[in-house]
Amino acid sequence: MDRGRLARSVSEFGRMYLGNRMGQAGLALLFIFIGMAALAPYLTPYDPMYTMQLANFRAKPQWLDPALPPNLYLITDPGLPSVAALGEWSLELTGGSSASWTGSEGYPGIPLVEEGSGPGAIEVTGEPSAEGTAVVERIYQYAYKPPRRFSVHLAYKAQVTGEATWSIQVLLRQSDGNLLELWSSGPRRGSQGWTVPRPQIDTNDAILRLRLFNDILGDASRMFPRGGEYGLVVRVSTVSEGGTVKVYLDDVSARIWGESFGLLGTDNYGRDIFTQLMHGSRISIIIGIFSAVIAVVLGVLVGLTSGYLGGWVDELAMRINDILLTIPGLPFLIVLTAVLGPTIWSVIILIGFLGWMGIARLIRSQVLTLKTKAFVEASRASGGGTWHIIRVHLVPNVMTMAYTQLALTVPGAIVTEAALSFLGLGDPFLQTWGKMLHDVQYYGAVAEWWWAVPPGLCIALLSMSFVFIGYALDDIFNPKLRGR
Amino acid sequence: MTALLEVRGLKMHYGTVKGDVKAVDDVSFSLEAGESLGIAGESGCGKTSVALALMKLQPGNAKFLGGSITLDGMNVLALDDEKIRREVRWKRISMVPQAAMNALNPVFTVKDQIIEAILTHEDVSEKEAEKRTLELLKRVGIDPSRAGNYPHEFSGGMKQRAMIAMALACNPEIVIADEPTTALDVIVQAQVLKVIKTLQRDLGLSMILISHDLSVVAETCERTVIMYAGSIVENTSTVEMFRHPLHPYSVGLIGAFPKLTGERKRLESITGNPPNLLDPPPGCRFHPRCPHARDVCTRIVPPLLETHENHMVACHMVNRHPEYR
Amino acid sequence: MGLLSYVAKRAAFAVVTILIIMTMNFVIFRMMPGNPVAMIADMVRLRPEQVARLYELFGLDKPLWDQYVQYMVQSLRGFYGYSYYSQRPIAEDIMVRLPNTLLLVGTATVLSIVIGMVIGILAAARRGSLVDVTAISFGFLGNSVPVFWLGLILLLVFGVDLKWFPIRGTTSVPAPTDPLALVLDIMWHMTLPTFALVIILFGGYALIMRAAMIDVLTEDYIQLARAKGLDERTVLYKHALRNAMLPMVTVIALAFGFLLSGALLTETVFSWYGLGRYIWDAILKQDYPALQGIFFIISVMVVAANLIADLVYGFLDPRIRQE
Ligand SMILES: Nc1ncnc2c1ncn2[C@@H]1O[C@H](COP(=O)(O)OP(=O)(O)OP(=O)(O)O)[C@@H](O)[C@H]1O
Ligand SMILES: [Mg+2]
Repeated sequence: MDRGRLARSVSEFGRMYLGNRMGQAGLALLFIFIGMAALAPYLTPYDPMYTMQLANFRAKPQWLDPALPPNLYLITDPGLPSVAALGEWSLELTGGSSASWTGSEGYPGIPLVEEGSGPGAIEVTGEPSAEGTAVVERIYQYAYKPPRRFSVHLAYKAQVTGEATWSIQVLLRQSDGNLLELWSSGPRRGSQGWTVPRPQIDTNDAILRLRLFNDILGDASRMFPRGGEYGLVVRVSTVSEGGTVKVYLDDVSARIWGESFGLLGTDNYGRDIFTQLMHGSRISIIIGIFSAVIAVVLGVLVGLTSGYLGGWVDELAMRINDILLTIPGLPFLIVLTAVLGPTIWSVIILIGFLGWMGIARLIRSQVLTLKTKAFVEASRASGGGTWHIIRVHLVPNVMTMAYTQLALTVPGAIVTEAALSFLGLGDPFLQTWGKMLHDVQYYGAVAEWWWAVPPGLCIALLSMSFVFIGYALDDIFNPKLRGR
Repeated sequence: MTALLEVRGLKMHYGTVKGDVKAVDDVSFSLEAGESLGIAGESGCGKTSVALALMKLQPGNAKFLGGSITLDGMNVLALDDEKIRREVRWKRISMVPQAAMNALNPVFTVKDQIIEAILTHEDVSEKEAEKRTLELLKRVGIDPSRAGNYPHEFSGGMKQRAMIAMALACNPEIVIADEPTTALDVIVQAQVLKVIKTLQRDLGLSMILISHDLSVVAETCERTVIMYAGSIVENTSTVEMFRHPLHPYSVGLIGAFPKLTGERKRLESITGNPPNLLDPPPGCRFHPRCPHARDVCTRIVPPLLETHENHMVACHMVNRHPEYR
Repeated sequence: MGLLSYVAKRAAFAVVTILIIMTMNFVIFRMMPGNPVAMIADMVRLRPEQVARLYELFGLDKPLWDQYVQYMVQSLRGFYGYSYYSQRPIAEDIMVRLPNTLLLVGTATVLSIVIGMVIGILAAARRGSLVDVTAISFGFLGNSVPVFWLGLILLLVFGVDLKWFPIRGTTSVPAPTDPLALVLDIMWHMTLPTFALVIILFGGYALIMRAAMIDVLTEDYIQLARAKGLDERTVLYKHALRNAMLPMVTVIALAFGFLLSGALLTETVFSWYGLGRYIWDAILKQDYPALQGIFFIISVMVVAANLIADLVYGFLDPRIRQE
């Protein structure tokens, strides 16, 4: 085929395709998903798999209920980098204590675990031979429904010379004036390098819940039962029996974990569901297309050879075909992936290798009809070799069917992969749409429709786009159906 | 005397995405009681379309654009479907369809399919219908013991005969045989034609026999109609047609047809191909292939006129010069 | 080829298929991470002589060929090994759940085939009508919508939100003792899973039926039937349907595997006490022998369904029945 004719037939095809309503719809849908896949990293800053704890686990979407607390950080400037940062705290001193900002100390962090904010800390000094307390308090107006999780972080250090004890308490002053002790270091003697409370001050800690609420099932909603003025109080007490004591506080932060987050909320690990949805399109498109390509290539190869050669080759190929068609696909895939290990590539290859049978039959019957056509006979009579005939006469004629089949095989592959992932046989390192539905099922989150609905809808729409494209191609390539 | 079946100016087109296929354009002919009429013409010239229209069995995309079909004074085209179904189809007009090979339903026995036709139109007992069926089969030369067979157990000729038996099941006045012998080998073809001819004579049937094979028509029919690209070009008795064809197309067609007498007066065959009916040539549809075409032929559709007694032809040249032969 | 030799041929094909499936199962069994004995020994910490005894029991000390023969014989006797997890014979585990799966699958099959066929026939008879559009749309939906997701949505709407149907289980707990009440209770629990399956499946059947009917309706014998003056009902339901049924029978059998898979997924969603739920648990617990056992049972069911379809086909099509 020379250039001009090729160009003309391509543009002819384009015109027919774009004139097909189903074709238009399919292509438009597909473009949306391809855009989603390409832009996923720009649409969301997070990683679908590894960015956890973005909010409380299973937070709702932000637009769902504005009264739900988003992620709230009570302290604006926890690192205390300058004296100005002290401004958000109110300070109350009793006895022989003084408190001030210092730039010469600062929480350096714990290697490999967390970073510290560096220089800048609150310094509480206990006068020699005196008792005193320094209370710093951060007042916060809380105006949302009760949260489920609340955590406080702080780092502290004590420098003692001579005889002195010190203690640190973290308290929450509730709107009704009640003071809840969240953590206490207890009276301590001696110096202490930079450290953090352990276990962390977090309502996720069962011991803390038990102590605070006498109820292991209680949560932070009992700390912030209603809107109003709350205060985070850090009280440093010093008792000097002649010695001096200096207590440093740094990185004091408190977080009310968001009950609402992002467009679609968070999953059980506090990962962003919207991010997972966007990135899921990549995996589904890749799996769908790659396994369909494998299936179609295999189907075309088998169909061509067995249709063209006939005889025992055909017989054998068709019997194998029959048997593979009889074997129930999904259960077989389940056993194979379970045993071979579920990586994305094994899933792609297995789906491809179990999907060629129907295509091979179609191609074969097409070849059988073509074989009787005059031009093939003529070519054979004039001494054309088998591969020559297959390449020159048969392949171009079955290609249109192959493209149609390609489009029509993708949805099956997408849905099958989703089913495997749903059953827990997906690639453990990828968060696919099917895996998202697995999580919904596993964590019993059906009622959270913003989590349960979108992945399936995406699977359905993406598959549907290929179904539309396939039927449009069929309409164009298969003139028998034209004029329907 | 009015004819049994009278077709006047029938015009039927098929709507397709590419435009209208003008398959039947201004077709007129009539059929007397007991007469056998042959319609001949190349493949695709609209013979089957005419036949189907007579029973209003046209495909879904067909459009009637004019004309009338009168059966015994009754306008068939104006009848509603239910009435046609009950009173015309098979009862008055039956047919042996083209591809009779595939016209028998593979999942029912031959006998049952014939009985079904009888029971649909006549109020007789099943026993009675079966008896008649077996008689009919015997008549067309099929051993009644094979009546209970399925179609695939019949040979091609037997299927054709069975179809003929079925066509006669309700004693119709008119039988349309559309290419009744095309798929058969020569010997079986001759046998089937003989059955048809005998039955037509014995039963006094009117028959329309459609074929692209002139010899079949010549052998079987009293009258011959030649169609070209959706219209009738010539209509006369078979004898006259073969002795003195008038239309250049008929002349070519019959010239190409080996004379049994061995006399080879005209052996001019027709050059070119029949037109695409999506966009047939204006004027006389035959003019691009006609050796005698004049300017008028490219512009004006020639009417079918009786230029000689009992001999109708649609050709400007012949109409103008009746003596031209 | 007479009916008898046809049946023999199909039956032989079924047997060969099952043997091949068993062989594949054996091969997969050999590929499993760690062999079953190592797996059990790992779990319960056995003494060396106990391990040796287990090797003997599983036949793993014998040559590969003997192991193969033993495997085949055991499978044929209905022994598929022990579940890693429940430590019980897998056949027993399966037999407890199989009736529930069959109940769900059977109901969904019958409903979706009947609905699909009726809609397919009507769609073919009235191209472009509402029925036709419905058939095509649901055909497309069935190709693209994951059945387990549809299940989740139905559960969400009709179970969680509207509370019309139970959200889990095969019966209420405790199950009603009165037989009639029990039947009603099971039907009530079955409604949503069956509905999900039927919605996904019937469109496909409708499309196939529609295509078969459209194909048949262009046949010459249909035109002849009309020419004979038969009314449209007779043409459609007697002459066309009988012929269009033939491809349908094969397709129904082939689609049976698809349907079973769908049922397994649906069971998972609705915590239906059947094989699907068993698969879900087996995957979570990496209970490979259990998965294999299920695969085998399901394959046998599908092969049997195909054999039945072949026989029905032979019965419906005189071209095979006689000669
Ligand atoms: N349903 C249809 N839609 C569109 N075109 C049609 C349809 N049926 C027939 N035709 C066209 O109408 C023309 C006449 O067809 P018809 O079957 O009447 O020809 P014919 O003379 O019987 O040919 P043959 O000898 O091959 O049977 C042909 O060109 C055919 O392609
Ligand atoms: Mg014809």
